[in-house]
Order: sequence, then structure tokens, then C-alpha cells
Amino acid sequence: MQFGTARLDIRPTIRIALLAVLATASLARAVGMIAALRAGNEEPLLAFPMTVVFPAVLVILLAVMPPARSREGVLMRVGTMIQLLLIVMLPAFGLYLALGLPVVFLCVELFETRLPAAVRAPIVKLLVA
Amino acid sequence: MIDVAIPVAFLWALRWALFLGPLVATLALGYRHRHDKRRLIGGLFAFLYGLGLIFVMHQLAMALGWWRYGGNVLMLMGLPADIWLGGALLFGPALYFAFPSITPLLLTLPIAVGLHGTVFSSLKPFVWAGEGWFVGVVLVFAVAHIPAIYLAKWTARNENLALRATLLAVGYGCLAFAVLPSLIIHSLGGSWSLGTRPPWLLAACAPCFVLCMVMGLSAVQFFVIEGQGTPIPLDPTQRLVRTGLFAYVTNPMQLCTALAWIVMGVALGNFWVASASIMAWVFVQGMVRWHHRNDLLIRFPEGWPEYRAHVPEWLPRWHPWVQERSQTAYDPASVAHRWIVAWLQRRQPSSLDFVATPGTQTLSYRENDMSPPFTGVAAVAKAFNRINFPFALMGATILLVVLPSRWIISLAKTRKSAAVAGHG
Repeated sequence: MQFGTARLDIRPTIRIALLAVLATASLARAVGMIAALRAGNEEPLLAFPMTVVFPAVLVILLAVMPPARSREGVLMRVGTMIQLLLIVMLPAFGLYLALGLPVVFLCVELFETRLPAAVRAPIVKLLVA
Repeated sequence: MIDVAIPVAFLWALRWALFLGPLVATLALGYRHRHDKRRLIGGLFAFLYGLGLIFVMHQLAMALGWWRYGGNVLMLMGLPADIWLGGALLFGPALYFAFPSITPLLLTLPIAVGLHGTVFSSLKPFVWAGEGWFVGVVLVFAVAHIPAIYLAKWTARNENLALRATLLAVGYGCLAFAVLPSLIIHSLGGSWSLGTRPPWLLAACAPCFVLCMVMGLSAVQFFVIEGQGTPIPLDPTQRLVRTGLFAYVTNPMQLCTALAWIVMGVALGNFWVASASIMAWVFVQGMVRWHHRNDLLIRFPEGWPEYRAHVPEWLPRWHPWVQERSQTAYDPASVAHRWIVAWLQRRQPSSLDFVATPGTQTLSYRENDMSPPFTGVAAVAKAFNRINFPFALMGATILLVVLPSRWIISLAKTRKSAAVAGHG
């Protein structure tokens, strides 16, 4: 754990990768929406703002947030971004994933407090700058 | 009133706009105020309060036949989720960020009367207005939208702590005990119907639920009285709160939430609602502990570890963990005072001194130099806190009734005397 005045952020490559996945998933959902609309199904069109635009905005907001004070803060951001990406990618499980959001924080807590340093260190190095 | 047929395509565009409009407005206006942290926090609180209250009020409106929504996309118990979120954004952060200095009543009145009053009955098949819909609109504004904007305003200005903590508690209550169970029921099955449940079971669950609420609300009350802050870490307490139910358990609010979900699950016969309590535990393990380490440990480097070492997270202690002695002053000449003091002494309260103070009009209780004094019934309720956990719950119940009542009476007196002075 790191406290104090240290400023920690998501590693730029990870941030770009997450945003690229978001763009791809959003595009896929948009294509699916257009196909459904052509078939006379307007449901994906009506659900698009809430199930794609909203989580996408949240991912972008998390990506551009100022650096965090602790490493856990950064890991929680990454975990939440991944959860939101899953919500965009797996619309059928969107509600379950949203309800399970606290599990992300538990995973980060277990990662920080229970995982051996030998396993933790390389993952942290990969994600946190 | 306008009642015209609007093309369906326009109504679907309207549905997009009702969600994306407030979302974009909130983001753009929030960006404009990005350096004013308290204002942003106020906006977030307004959104969360609105989210809980709009849901509950719309359920009430639909149950009473004031209106119902058409369509079957993103519906949660008859309410379109995107409209619900859009409403919470618009009548919360968006309007507050756009007009921070205008009174919320003036801000929302033109929308309530002008917009809803004119086009509400034209929105079929999107919304079907029923009998008395305007009363419903007024009620939604009075209970959900206007308080949400006030909450944002008070939080940004750091004023009216007791009222904003009350609004936060109400908002949280709606989110935790109405919205979340509804989402669980919607996704995993079950219903809110209690008609088929055994009456004895409901009769047993009701007091348990009330007890859970006492625990949660008392924690909020002590955050305000002792901590001079709210339970939400974004608007934190100024002091470490270790009295009240916090002398028995470190997370009375999470305990209240978890137990209440179990009680609700039993009452509804819904395993999934009861198992939401596991999520409360998950939340404490993940988020709350992180907050403890990154906030409380840093702000209270000596007090927090000592408190945490003595007070458990979930299973309350039988006797309180108290660090400082407190005093109850009484008049030895008063029979009532002597009787109360003798009764309390028989129960061996922890670290509580009884000080005979001749001439004292009412019993008074003082925790430490930083805490406000408690008098009369409130003093006795506070002394209960030093006995054991069941008595502490009893004391918490009394304080939840007495202190707000006194506040309302004093407010009424102040207004009355101000009015008299104005006439004079």
C-alpha cells in the first residue's frame, strides 16, 4: 500500500487498451442496434443510451480522472472500468454485472492484502504508473 | 392543456433526449465547476437522493393510477430505467450546476406547472396520464426533485448539516431498501407482494426491521451530533465518532443494511433479497476497509487504530468501549432525579459519573468537552448508551424521537418570535 502525497495513475498503455476495447464494444453494439432496427426491432435502439453510452461515459470519466493517492485507488478504477466494459460487451448480463460491482472492490482488497507479493508486484507494475 | 397526437418516432427520440440530455448537461456543467469539489459532491448527492426518491414516488404514482409508462424496454417495475436516471440527473446535478444561486422551488416550479401541466397528457403511448396525475407531479417535485436540489445546495455551501444528513439517510434508505431489492426481484425473480406470507411472520419481521432502521438512523444522528459531518466519506465527519452505537460496533450502518436485507428476504420469502446481505459484507471488506485505511487512519492516526482494536466490525460488544468518562448531573433534592439515578446506577453503566448538583432543573449528560450536553429525556437516553447494547438501542430510539422533535419545536419558536418581531 502507498499513502501520502504520492500520485499514482493507470499506466497509459493500459488506459489506451481499455479505451480501445470500449470503442470496439460500443461499435459492435451500434452495428447490432442498426441490424435489429432493420429487422423491425427497436429495443436495442431504445436501450442504447442507457446500456452503451452511459457505461462508456463512465469508463471515459474513470480514464481521465486525476491521479490517485493510493495504489488501491488506481486498481479500483481499473477494476470498475473492466466491469463497465463487461456491461457494454455482455448486455444480457448487464444488470447482474451492475449488481455485482462491490465484488470488484473486494477483489482489489483481496489482491492487496492476501495475494503473495511475488504475484502482486508484476500485476501492479503492469497496471499502475 | 395541450392534448395532441405526437408521432411515435418523435417520442422515441424524446426518450433518448430525456436520458442523454441531462447526462450531457451534467457532464458539461460539472466540467465547468470541476475545481469546486464541494459543488460536485453536492451534485452527486442530489443525483443519488433523486435516484432513490424518484423510484419510490413513481411506484406510488403508478400504484395510485396517476400515470403509467408504455413500452417494455429497460423497464424496472413499470418505470423506464433511462427516464428514471435522466430525471435524477436533470432534477439534481444538472439544474443545480446550471442555476446554483436560484431557489430550488423557483427553479422547478415553471417546469412542474409549465411543462408537465401542458404536455403531460400528450405523451401517449410513452406515458399514460391517469386520474389526478397533476397531484402526483406536484408530489414528485415536492418529495424528490426540490429536496434533491436543496441537498446539492446545502452540501456545496456546507450548511444545514442535520437536514442534509436526513436527506442522505432518506435517499440511502430508498436506494438500499426499495431500489436494490426491486433490481434483485426484477433480475432473479420474486415479488413485493406480502399478501401470501403468513401474518405471524410479517408481525415478527416488522419490529426487527424497525430495529435495523433505528441502528442505521442512530448512526447517522451520531455522525451529525458527535462527528459534525455526514456518513458519506465525501462529506466526512470532523471528529472520529466513537460514542452511541459506535461504542459497540464500528459499522452500525452496514450492519443495519445487512440485517434489514435478511429481514426483508424472510418477509418476502426471497432468498436473493436476503443474500444481498452478503453484498453488504463484500462492500465492507472491499470499499469500507479501504476507506478506513486511506481516510480514517490518516486523519485520526492515534484514535482510529485504538478504537478499531477494541470495537468489532459486525458483532456488537455487549458493553460499550468507552475511552472518556461522562457525567450525569442531577439535583439531589429532586425525587424523580434521585430515582432515575438510582435506577441507572443499579445497571452499572460504564465510565459514567453521577454528579449531585443542587439546583439543577433537569438531568443533564455530558460526554466530553467537544460534545453538546444532553438534557432531560435525552440525558437518560444517552446514559442508556453506557449500560449495554440492548439499552443502547433503546436509548438510540429515544434520541431519534426526542432530538428532532426538540429541533422542530425550537425552529417553530424561532419563526414565531421572528414573525412577532416583524409585526412589531
